[in-house]
Amino acid sequence: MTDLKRLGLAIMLHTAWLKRAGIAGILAIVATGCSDNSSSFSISDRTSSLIPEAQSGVADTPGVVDLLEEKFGNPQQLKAWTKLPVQWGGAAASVEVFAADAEGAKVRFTVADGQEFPAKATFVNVVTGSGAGKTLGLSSWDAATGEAVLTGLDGVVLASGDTCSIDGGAVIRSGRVLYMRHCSHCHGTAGDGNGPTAQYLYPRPRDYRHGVFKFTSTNDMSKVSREDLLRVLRYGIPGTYMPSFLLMKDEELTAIVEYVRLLSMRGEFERKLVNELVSDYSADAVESRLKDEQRADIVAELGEFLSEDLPGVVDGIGGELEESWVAADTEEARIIPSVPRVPDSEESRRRGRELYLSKTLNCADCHGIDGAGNGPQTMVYEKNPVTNVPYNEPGLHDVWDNLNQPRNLHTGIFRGGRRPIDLFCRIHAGIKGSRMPSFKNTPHEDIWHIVNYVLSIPFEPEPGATGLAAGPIAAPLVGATPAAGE
Amino acid sequence: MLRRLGKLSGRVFSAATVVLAAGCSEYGEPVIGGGATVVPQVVFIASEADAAGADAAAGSEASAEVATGSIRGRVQLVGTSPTMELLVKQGAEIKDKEVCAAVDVPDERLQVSGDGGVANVFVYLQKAPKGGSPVVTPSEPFVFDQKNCRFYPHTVVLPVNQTVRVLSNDSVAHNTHTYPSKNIPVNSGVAPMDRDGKLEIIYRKAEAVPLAVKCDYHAWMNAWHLPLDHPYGAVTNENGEFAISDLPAGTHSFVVWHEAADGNFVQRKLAVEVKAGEETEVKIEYPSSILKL
Repeated sequence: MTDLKRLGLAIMLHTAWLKRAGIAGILAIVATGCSDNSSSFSISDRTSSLIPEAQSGVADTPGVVDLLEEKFGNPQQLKAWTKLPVQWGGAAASVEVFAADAEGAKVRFTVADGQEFPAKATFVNVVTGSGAGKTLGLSSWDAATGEAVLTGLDGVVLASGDTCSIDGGAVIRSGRVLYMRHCSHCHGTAGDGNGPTAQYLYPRPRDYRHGVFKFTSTNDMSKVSREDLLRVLRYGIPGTYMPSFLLMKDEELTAIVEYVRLLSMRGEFERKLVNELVSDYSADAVESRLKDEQRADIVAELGEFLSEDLPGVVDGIGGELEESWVAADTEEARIIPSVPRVPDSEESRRRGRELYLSKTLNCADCHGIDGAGNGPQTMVYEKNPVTNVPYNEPGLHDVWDNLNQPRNLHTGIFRGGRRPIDLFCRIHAGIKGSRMPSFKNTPHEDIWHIVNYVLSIPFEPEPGATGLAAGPIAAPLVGATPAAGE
Repeated sequence: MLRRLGKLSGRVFSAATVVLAAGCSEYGEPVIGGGATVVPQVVFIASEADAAGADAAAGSEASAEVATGSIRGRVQLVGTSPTMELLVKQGAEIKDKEVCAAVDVPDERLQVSGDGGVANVFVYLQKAPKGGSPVVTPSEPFVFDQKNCRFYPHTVVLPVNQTVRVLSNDSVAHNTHTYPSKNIPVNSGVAPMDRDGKLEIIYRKAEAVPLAVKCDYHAWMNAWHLPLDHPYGAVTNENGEFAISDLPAGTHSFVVWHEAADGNFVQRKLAVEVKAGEETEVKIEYPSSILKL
């Protein structure tokens, strides 16, 4: 007995020690772990190209990086800049009556029309009034009277008319978590298209920060609509690494869409702020200015610009973001063919091929005479139109500086979707950010002829093929009388 | 004993998870793989908070009657003028040569007159001056044409909101692709011999520097547009001359920008004193050493 017992005791003592040491060790990891594990939004190369004072401000005046933090926060603490057209989630409510005592505070809320008080809400975000930006606890809520008990006030006083968001940011919080789980590997924490796997992928994952998405059902000057993003999430992008997320719930997908839109707006905000500063305050610009100016004078001038002009600029950018992203979801932005699809026929395909090769449209210039994506423009050495620096390889480059292969139309793989209306939109709006121009001024009937031709190309016989397949047009005629827009 | 230790480490691990969850997340979600799955906080910022800044910025608009003067000047190349080869020689074996090489096309990046005047140099105020007159948007559209795979004009200063009508005098397809930094880019096809100008471009915002306009069918085609929200900008003519009138009296700082200058700025801040009722002569020297062709 004794030996066994002794052994048992020894093990018990040992485990107690192990436990203590283990937990202490883990606590140590946790203490550093939280800060180490917290993620951050990267800043763009263009922001880094500015002098440090333009990035982080002169004296107390904020610079680009501070303004990004102020308006968008970080992945752990997101800012909901309510000016932006993002569905943050939560119910908007205004304060009717507020009474605080030592226990907490009683508030009567009026929930905005058409919204419901979230049943499981545990906190309230104050949006306007003296407590704006604060998060308060919600310990109870009476649906009949609209009365709620708030905790954790810490001196915050609400006044009648103040607006709050109950369970504020529920959608964007869920979008952030889901994005980090499913999207950030490729698209990066900040949506910069530079997640850890990005370097192994071709084509590269989209960098959202231009606010530009290639495949949209909106017209050439409009941004991507929520519906377009949702469609890409549901069905993926054929021919690329972007998979389908069809198995996720609708509310999960819409939350991701909102978060992707928020990251796009953050990127655009950063880009537009830098645009204001880059020509005078990039490190290169300042270096060249030092020939006839003193650095202190340049910094003083920058400080003046940051304090006097930038607040107006920030507001202006917010307004632009609001306007353009709202417009993308309106009917006016949608491409609606003025004529129903021309029925597919040999005649229509022939007409489409004529247009494809014509001097008017000259699709062959990039896509090649036989549609293999090898037109003469793919051989041209170009310069970056903005920086004027020549590209290393010949061919067509997009705004992300990626080399684009004009689509090989024989594969039957269409990244923006293979429905006739998808091809119609590609021709009508062009492919945003790329060299593919919009042909919005081409008669819609002609666009449909090209769509019919392009859809028939994958069925064309190989050159030199014999037998049945070598007939003049081997493709089956499909969709003879489709509905308008399909 | 090993089994026991295994169990034990499991217990320690779950304790760790609890600790981690409590330590990092307010909402009690377990932390796996760093902070990615921690539910973030959301802090609301009211949109009204921004309005104050905008009002302050708009405050400078009010303008009383201000004494004005004008400037007239010339951009002069100093040093040896490089010989510019033709961009396209007549009859050259290039794409769409029957149109694009029908005539000699000069390289417009640098055009110097016999006595050294540099054409196509932008001279402008980056910001509307205090007391300046507002920008006037002409009701007639500005005609932007192309012939022999060359844009006409090569350079232009445009008031914001003016319609730019894009025409083509060529029997080949073109597209007009703009690269603005503050406006929405345009990339749209232009049909051959489109003399009505179906494509219209409107710049809603002023740009800080001229923006490139390209044609992707003919990569060598290039023009520069500068939309401004004030009337104080000009482009030099073929003799390198420019004139800007109705400037409020006082000292102004002009930007002198040219596509062939290294870094594009001939002068970032050219201080000119404008005297009421007078025309000030401005001589701008463009050292050939800063050319980057």
